[in-house]
Amino acid sequence: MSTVEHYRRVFSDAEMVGKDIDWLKAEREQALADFEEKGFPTARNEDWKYTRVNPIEKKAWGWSGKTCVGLDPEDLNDYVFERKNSHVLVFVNGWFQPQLSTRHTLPEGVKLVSLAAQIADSADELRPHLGKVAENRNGFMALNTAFSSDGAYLHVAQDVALDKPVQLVFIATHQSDPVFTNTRNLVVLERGAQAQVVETYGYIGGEPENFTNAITEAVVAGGARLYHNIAQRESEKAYHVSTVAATVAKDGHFEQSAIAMGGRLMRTDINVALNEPGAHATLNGLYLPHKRQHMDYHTFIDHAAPHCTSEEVYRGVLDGAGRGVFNGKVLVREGAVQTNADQSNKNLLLSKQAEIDTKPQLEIFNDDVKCSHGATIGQLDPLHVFYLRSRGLDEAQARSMLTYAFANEVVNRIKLEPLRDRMSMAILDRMPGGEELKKLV
Amino acid sequence: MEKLLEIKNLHAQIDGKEILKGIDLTVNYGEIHAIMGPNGSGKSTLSNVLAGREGYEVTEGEVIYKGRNLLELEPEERAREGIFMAFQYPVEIPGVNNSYFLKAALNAKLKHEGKPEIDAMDFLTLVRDRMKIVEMDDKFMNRGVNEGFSGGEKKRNEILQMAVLEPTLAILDETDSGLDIDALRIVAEGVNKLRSPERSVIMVTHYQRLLDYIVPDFVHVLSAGQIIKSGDKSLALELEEKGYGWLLGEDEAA
Repeated sequence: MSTVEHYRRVFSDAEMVGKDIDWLKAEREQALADFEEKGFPTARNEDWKYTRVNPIEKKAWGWSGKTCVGLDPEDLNDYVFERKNSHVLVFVNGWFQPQLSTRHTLPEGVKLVSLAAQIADSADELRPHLGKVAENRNGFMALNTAFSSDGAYLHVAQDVALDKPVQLVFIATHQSDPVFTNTRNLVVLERGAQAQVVETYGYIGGEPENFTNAITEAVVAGGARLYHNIAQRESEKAYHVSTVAATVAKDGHFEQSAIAMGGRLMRTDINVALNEPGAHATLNGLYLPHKRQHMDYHTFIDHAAPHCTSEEVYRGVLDGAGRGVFNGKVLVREGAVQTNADQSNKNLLLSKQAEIDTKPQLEIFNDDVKCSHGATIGQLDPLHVFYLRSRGLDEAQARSMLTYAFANEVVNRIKLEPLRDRMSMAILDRMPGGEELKKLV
Repeated sequence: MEKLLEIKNLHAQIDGKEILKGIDLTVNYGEIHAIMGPNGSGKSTLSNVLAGREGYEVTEGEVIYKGRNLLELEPEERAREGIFMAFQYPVEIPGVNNSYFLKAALNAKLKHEGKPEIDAMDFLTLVRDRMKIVEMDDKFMNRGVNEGFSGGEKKRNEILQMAVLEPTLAILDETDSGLDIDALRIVAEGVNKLRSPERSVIMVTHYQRLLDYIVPDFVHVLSAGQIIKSGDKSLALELEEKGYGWLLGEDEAA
């Protein structure tokens, strides 16, 4: 059976939510047609030059049905912090699990529900935004749009600040047949609204070979502030392809920290459009591939209006035969005067087999802008290692301490303190002698 | 007196270039030795060879420390056995917290000695006490190692580490270079406070002025990779007066 036939059959059999809603049905069918036309990206596509998706393409991914999961909220403690002081929505194999979630009383004007619930309740409320922020740019996105049925929907009304952070936790468990989940999240902040969102991708039990194909769309209206975080901690046998697309209006603020530790193969695209004057984006990122992991971040900041600012700090720590890709595109459109855009990408190679392809990409179409970018690739400084060893630390400990310091430059940029601490600990867990270091920091 | 360190006919090279050309030196417990010499004489090479820095190849001779072959030990093993080199140019290590780095170092040594690790409170008390010796402010402990420190602060941080780790053999590699007179006094007092019959010091320096503050038992003059003259502290004064040219050939004196 061809790939097209396979997904068409999965599509007709799948128990998607909202099958009877005409506009949604039409969008899904259009997306499936888009997928059939585009197919999975190949290396001929410049944007996918360094990331081969054949391992994903080769497998016949099936629909992940709503299965009964025998999990308790405590099983998620690795991935959830401060349940008492945050709203937690847990999804297992793509579906919302109310029994594992915690939703405190929400301020007036805040809606936080599963996408499936919102579709069932009032799909029309989603229509102005769903699929409008993120277009189906590639086969993966088209597949997501065709199949997505669940995820999180957060809507914050004008001038409302959601004080507690929202944790969206996506858990994969082992399944006998290969399944893909097409998580779709939508965050809408009306004018002057504020929210903090954390997306965590993880797994429980064994090391599932799942395929996460996710999209998050975020609308940041005038003067609104969205702090968005991604902790990608999937199984090291998992495939993770995701896109975050955000639009930011006048004087709006979008700030994101993305940290990748998991997955056999990861590709995440982050597309932020600064559409009106005064809009700002901060993108922080850290990728830590080791063993045979492959991690690819493609970021795109679109300066479409004058007086917008962006700041981007991405770092990579590459060990074993780990491979990283960073492509940071900054587009300054005609008329976007007084743009201020900084980008930095630093990479630390810890082994001979590790590899990084980094490409800062600035495209500027007018004068009167201030743009900078820099990419470095280096190793640990032998003098630093010697200094620490000369004080009694063994070589592995010295290297881990220096590596941790390098990675922490990004972790420290996470605004949400409990998440910051979690990420520090999770990074140390992956390092030789990390247990010892944990006692110190 | 019991020997702590014995250097015999030590030859060492960097990048194939021979720098040390047969050093002989014995340091007993409790002694302070000053090693003086002009630039390029091999002073820093000797310090670095003793600390175990990579890139320094010993081609001949031996170094016996506490009865063991020092050259076989990794840098961290030397440190845990009580060797401490205060760097001529202490490196800045952004992001590695001064406090937890020092705690890790102390714990590595304690573990090596079969002692329990120090707890957070005791460590804080110890560090605060030792910081007084070098007149360092608390705030330095939560910065990155030497990050943004002035030259004098870096050297004081070296002496602080030394005061916490309590080495058996301290090697001060041109610790006086780049110090103003106040910083020099603080650093010297730090070293003097650590003087004890169980501890020895090798001070490598270009200038005599450090020896006004830390009075050595022996002074050695290093030139072209060899010790050409040894004596007591009066040798340093004589050098101060007459210059290195006094001991060197006419060409070098010019």
